[in-house]
Amino acid sequence: MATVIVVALVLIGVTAFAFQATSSTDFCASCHEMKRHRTELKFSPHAMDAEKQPIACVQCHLPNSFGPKYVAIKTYLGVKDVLVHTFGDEDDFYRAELQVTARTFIDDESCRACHEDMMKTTKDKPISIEGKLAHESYLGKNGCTNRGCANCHHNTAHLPDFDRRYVVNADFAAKLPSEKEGM
Amino acid sequence: MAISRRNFIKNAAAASAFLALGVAPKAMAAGPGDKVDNWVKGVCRYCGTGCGVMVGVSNGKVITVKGDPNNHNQGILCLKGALLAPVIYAKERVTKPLIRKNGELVEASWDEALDLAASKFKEAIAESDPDSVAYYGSGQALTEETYLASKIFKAGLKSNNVEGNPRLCMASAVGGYVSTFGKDEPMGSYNDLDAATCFFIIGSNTSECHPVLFRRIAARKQNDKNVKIIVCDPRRTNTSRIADLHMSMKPGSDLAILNSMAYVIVNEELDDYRFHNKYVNFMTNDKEKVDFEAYKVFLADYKPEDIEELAGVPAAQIREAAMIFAESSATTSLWCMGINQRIRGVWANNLIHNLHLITGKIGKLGSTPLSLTGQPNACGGVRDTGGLSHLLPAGRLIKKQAHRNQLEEQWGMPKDSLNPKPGLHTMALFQAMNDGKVKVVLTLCTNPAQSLPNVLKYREGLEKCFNVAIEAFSDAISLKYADVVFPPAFWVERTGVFGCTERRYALVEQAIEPPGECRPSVNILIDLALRIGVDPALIPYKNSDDIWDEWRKVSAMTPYNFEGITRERLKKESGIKWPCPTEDHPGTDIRYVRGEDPNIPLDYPDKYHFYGKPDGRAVVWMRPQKPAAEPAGGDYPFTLTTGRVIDHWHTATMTGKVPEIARSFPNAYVEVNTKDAKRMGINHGDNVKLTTRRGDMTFKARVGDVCEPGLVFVPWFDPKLLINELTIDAIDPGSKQPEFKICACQVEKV
Amino acid sequence: MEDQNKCCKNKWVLLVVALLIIFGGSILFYTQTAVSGTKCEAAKHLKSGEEAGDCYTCHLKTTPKIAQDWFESKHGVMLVKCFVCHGLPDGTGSIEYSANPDPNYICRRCHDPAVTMMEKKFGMRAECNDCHKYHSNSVHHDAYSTTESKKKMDQ
Repeated sequence: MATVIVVALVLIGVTAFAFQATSSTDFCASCHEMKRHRTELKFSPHAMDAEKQPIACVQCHLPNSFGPKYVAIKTYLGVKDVLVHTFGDEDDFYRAELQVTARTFIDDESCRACHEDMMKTTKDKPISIEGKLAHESYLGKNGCTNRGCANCHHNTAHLPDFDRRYVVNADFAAKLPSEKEGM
Repeated sequence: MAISRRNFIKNAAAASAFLALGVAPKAMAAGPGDKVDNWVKGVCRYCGTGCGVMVGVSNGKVITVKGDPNNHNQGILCLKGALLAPVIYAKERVTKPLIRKNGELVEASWDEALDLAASKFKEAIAESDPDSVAYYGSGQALTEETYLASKIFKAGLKSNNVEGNPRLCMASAVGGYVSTFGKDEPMGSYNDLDAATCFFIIGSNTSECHPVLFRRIAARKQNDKNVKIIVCDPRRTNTSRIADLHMSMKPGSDLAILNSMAYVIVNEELDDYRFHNKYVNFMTNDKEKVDFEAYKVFLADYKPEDIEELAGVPAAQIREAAMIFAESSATTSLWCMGINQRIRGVWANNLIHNLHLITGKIGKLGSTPLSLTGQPNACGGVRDTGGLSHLLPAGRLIKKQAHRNQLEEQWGMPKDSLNPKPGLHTMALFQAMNDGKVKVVLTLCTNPAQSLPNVLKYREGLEKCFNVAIEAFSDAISLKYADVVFPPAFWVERTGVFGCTERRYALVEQAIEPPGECRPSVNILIDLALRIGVDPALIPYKNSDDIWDEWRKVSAMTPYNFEGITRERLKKESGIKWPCPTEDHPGTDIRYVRGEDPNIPLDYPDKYHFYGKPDGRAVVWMRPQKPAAEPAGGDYPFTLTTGRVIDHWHTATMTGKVPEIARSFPNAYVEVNTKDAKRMGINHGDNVKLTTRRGDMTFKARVGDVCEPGLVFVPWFDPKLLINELTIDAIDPGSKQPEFKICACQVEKV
Repeated sequence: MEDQNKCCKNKWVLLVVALLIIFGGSILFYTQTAVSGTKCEAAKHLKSGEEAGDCYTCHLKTTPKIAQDWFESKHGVMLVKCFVCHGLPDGTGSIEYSANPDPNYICRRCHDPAVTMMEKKFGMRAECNDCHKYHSNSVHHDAYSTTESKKKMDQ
């Protein structure tokens, strides 16, 4: 029995270390395919938080709090990234499809950790009437959209070429060099 | 096999779904379309495009509507057509005869209602003369209904007061075609839209009023980059989104612009001399025949630079438009109410035809002046069967004795027994009701209390007159003035024929039984006529099939030849274009051209033959510029114009019953230009009061760049905000069509 | 003794393998179900409001990309409005409300000949959308590059 406990403790220790070590932005960007995402993040509205601290990948792409959900998503995304990095082909980096998967795993808790008041903008001003209606739907008033934050709020940190033509992305797009120019 | 992310995710999803449900992924759920028992062929109930529809019936109920792949629309429907089904089951349907007792419409038996209506007709005719009764029909009635009603009144009751709402929308186009070519109705067809390399769209918001044709034009442009589209309209509507050139003209300057385009064509020597030298007569406004040189002299007043200010269009744009028009290999012109609803609508029509005649862009695939119609059976049923006060069936005129005699013979009447005096045109008819001269009126499938211009003026007459209405919807404003209401079978609840813009006649087949005590309008008309005392030998029909067969015979031997369009063929084919003289004739795409038009013998020496004119030549009329009846200026600095929106159709008695449309577009609004709005401090959504010389009304503002500065637009569908209380009832002296499109108004923020 | 050891060893291997499968399986299951890709099941948002059917005006602000896609698409140029395919969110419309309409029913209402042709060639498939993007099927071939199709955008 003692052996089991020791093995378990060691496993937990190793896992904890591995989780820690693989959660930095630098680690994520150590694979070349992640570089463009990092560049986009740098110019995006999500580059810094309110305290002017850089926002890390994991702050959005993994749940905010540690728990079974965190473990499950971290494991799944990690295994997927390793597999694709090792065996993947060009098709796997088709960004329109990547977006859908990525959005699926953006946990609302991560967004709401910073964006606490959904009826106010980041500048502490009341949001538009339409925004209010949409957020009320999100909260289950006036029917329910049952959509996560990221399913409406697109291109908040990354902006592929094909999304740059949208009027709503004009400011973000203006700051970015062309994707083709080797981002 | 390489493990890719895509496969990884796909397999993971499948695996977990399998784990979760213990079953293989479910097949897609069956759509509501799968439950349809049978599909019945028909024609859309709304506009003059005349799209073929397939009506999906399940357990005796229409559950869905889709496009007919074999008709000209190739399966495509616009949003109104796709959502047609719920209209049939509107709770506002009239299902029992109603008569007015103590000011209220109450349910009555058929006998009671028919006897009451018949007695009023008999009384009026006995007391004064047949001219004291009238029929006011509709471009939405079936061909058979209009033919029958026209025969009952003209032959049975000897009253030529047979009119219809096409007078408000199509009369100027009729006048244009008849004065230029001698015969009514377009010579081209929708096939021209697939071959044209230039589209000249003037006074038409095709995109919202004829969406399926707009789609066809857009598809043409998409397939051939070189296709050019010119839009001439004081509003920059959705139609202009596909335009290469948008000419923002001032309202009322259309005649000048059209003459100016002719000036450019003639002076740049882009005219087709061989064509107009052989097939065209030039005529002054006083019907004096002149030569081409005189026409050039007439055009000298319309140099683009000289009319620039009047038209509000830069001279360069007029020149460009004229060059594109004349230099393109095939040009199709399209116009609608912007041209027709003018006090010189006929002239404007003539001037469009002029452009085609001087350039020879006519009678060739892709080259045609094609007037768009607003109602599903105005171009067809009303114009062809003679459902207007000056007409007899198949292009014959009441004032011509020979024409009357032909009909008397065909209808088995004594010679010279038809009333030789043309009846009252629409506006005169309603004025006569005001004056008490017309005492009883039968209205069929129309809503004049909303659709007449300056409508408040004519309500007195509607109240005074004994008003018998055949109307399907109890909330139509006109029913406020009705004394007897008969419930008709609606749309696919009976069988009959609609004729659309391109001379195509198609059958609307009965798909379901009418609700309650509703009956087909032809049967209502026959019963009513018999009780009034019309000779039963004149109307020996059981149903609309019998009437159609008679109409075929009446049209035979005329250039409007329907003889080959039998009921059996209509059941099989999705529409046939007349002239169609024999049962094996495929129908006619292009008229006035040898080899195409069956009215021209194959051994005729010339390629073209405008047989409507005595010498076979079409006419280029020299029509001068004429401003609107009530141009903006002085105390009324703005121009008010009205029109349609894509969601609603006419008076919204039908579209208002579709939940999607009723909710997306519940109210009329006023469109104001951004600059005007800024100057007057009007914001989007503010209340704005419009005042014309006839009244005032308040609307919510929509600020944008659709209207030109100085112009405001209000859609006319809304019965609660009835813009026709403000419009003017000035009419074209030729066609008697009112000038809905232009009147002067004040705009004020309230 | 050896048998017992072997048996024991097998048990351990089995246990570890079983644990790994359960662990891996539950992570997979969890990621595929708890964070499902299709989240929108909007049923009846905006129950009230006079112009609730005027989807575009509000969605231009709330889902600007979808609104812009539609506006620039063929369906936008032809004014095939939201409710023609989606119905009304509160289910009061004349067609069933659906965020992802069933192409076999909805597309066929206008594109029956095309769907039938594709069906003959490839069999009926639910994913018309994979190639013919409902919202962003733009008017292509550059036919409209010289026109005003992309200039006008309502406020």
